[in-house]
Amino acid sequence: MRSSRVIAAVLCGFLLIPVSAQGQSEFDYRGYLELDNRFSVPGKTEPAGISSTRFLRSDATARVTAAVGEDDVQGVLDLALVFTGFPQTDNLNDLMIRERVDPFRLESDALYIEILDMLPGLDMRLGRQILHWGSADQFNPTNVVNAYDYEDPLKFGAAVANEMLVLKYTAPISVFSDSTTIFDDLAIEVAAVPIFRPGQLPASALAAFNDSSLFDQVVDSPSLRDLKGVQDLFLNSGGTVAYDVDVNNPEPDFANAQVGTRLSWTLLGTDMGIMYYRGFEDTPRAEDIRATGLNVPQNIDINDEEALLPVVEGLVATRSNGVTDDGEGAIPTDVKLSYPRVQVLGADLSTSLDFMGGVGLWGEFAMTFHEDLYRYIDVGLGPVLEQEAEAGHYWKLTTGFDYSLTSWWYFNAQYIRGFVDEFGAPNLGDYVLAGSEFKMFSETVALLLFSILDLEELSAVIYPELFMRLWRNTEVSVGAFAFLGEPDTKFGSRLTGPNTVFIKGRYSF
Amino acid sequence: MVHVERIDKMKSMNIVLLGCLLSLTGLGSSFAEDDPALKDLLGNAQALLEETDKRHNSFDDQTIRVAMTIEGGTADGTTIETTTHTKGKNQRAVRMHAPANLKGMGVVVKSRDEIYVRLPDSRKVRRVGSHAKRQTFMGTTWNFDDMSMIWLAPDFTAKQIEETETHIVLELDRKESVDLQYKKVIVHVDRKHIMIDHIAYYDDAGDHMKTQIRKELKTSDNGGGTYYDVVMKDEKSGAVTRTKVLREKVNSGLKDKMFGRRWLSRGP
Repeated sequence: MRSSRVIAAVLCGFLLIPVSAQGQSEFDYRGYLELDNRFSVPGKTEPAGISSTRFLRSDATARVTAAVGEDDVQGVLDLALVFTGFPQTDNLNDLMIRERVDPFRLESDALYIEILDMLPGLDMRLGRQILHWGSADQFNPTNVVNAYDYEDPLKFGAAVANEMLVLKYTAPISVFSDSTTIFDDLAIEVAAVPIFRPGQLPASALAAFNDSSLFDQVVDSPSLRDLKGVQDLFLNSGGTVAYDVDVNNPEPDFANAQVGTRLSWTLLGTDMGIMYYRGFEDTPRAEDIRATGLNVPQNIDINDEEALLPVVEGLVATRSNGVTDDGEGAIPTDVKLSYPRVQVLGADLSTSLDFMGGVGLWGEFAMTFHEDLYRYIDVGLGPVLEQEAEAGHYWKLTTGFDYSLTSWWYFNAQYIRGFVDEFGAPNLGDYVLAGSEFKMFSETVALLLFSILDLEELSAVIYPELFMRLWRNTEVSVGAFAFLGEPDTKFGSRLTGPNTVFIKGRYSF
Repeated sequence: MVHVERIDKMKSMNIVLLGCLLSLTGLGSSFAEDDPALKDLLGNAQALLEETDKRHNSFDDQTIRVAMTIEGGTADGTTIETTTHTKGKNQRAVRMHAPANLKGMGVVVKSRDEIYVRLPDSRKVRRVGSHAKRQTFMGTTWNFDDMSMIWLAPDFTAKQIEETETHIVLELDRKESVDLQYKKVIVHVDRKHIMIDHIAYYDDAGDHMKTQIRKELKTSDNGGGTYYDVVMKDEKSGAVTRTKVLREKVNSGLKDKMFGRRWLSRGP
């Protein structure tokens, strides 16, 4: 935290330089102060001991984005200071540390320099940035260079910035008719990312490991299902399990550098692109699971609950008494997460259908190729090296349209195959997203109403938000994020977090 | 887990409407009498309309910063400030300066149906369907069609309906293949400058929808001129938006690359 302060001071100094020392430079900035309060409301099952009506978030954020430059050169800095509201004081020492009493974090979506036409038609952007690929609305299967930021469900589609070099060459080839573009914007973009940066997971992701009632939704192999059955019996008999989850990030080796390239153009008024990426999936998977002390004799059929029960009860008793070499208390279970290496090949297009009143239309497709995926499991049932998935491929698709039905009513709908957190052919779902915005009172009030429906499990998210812009540069909004569906479905599961009501206020400058 | 830039997106719809922002220019003149060229144009309404088009767009390129202020209603006092770069008949690039929540937003219009918007929060550049033309602009009385009606002669057929001491009044009828919401427009051509300083807009039902009044004609760097004060009144609601030109520069040699996605990606 102390180092965070130093970084903040240095960056603030950077912000001031162009004003004081480089009066000739163009300097522009924007920013906001934002308060974001959220509360859970009943309607979704919660673990024992957790209130269904509780405060979920109390963020106070100050964000500044600044650009300074001359002609074809510019530098951009984005910096946000977020006070997270909830004290992290677990012991007496914590009470003496300001950062524990009043926690905060820094975020930055940009810190880069950009040179346009460093050679004719060749642009370079070097540094921390978020590279956007794809033409769909937020669900972009080809947008894989930066990892997703799942931390805030209301900022879905957000990404974590990463340091990279991006070169883009735009060919000086344009053919126009009187009313439309015949051919234009032929460009090739190449991105090189030296260090892998994983996606940030939501707080609810922890439940996948420490809430055994959710295991059914995350286990995806016979071995894990066996383990789950034994564990359920153990837990029901009074035993406890302590998970220690480690993450194996790709080493910063040249061989692990990520590269991507995208070729794009406009043909007959339609924007098109094809892309390729070689790197890593940004959501981790369990690669290695080991439990110590859960020793089931080999002659016991673990699917025979009657035979297994005495063994498990004996184990619970011995661990409670601490009479064996295995120790006592909870059974330690170590899990190692890793990021599968992938290659992605994709294409996208977007256009405006003028013969249909200017309907906006887009489609985006990505084929992901992965290697054989193995998982080592040793939980006292005999070690297993199982093949989680054979080398192969799977595809994701987003296609949709939007339209302004009137001057005050905007409509948007998309079909989505494969949610952003889904990996592997057997795990892809089908979804429909649809919603509208209604503008009222000279746009000082707006109502947003969106929903995502899981077509297979029939679970859904409903997301209404009312915006009020009645005061100068100030926006206040109230809304909700409600999940519908059985507890074992995509959106009904506790893994997606509780039903939420929120109120936000933002002053922009 | 859905998001959220949806509002950004809607804002982007709004800024799209600025893509063809007000071209309020034309030849400046201090003549007390009719412009000498008027004599040859009288009796040929279409030719007169074409001449007004030329005088309102007498530059190779133009950079204009304007402030649009809503007068009355719940958004009373709201000011939208933009800089618009224009080159040729079709190329336009717009940056938003105010209100603050729209800073960083930009739009490039390559044609009436090819529009790109930069969303400030994500700094993402997106193609937008031309349905956005249906949207009003930030609660003002302007919409895309109002703003895109810069060259009138290609879209309308003119006939003279009145002649006064100060103005020639033309009735403009929308051509058949043209996708504009106004079937009829009545324009008042100032005889001194051969420029339009009053426009009345009528819908398909013949209802008077809006009235635009232009004032404060000033001479531009190239000898052309710009109306520095423009009022657009919604005749149905009575709402008014006043547009003031803050500064203007013409023929500064804007580069073609300003009018593409590369330009949009710049800025904070």
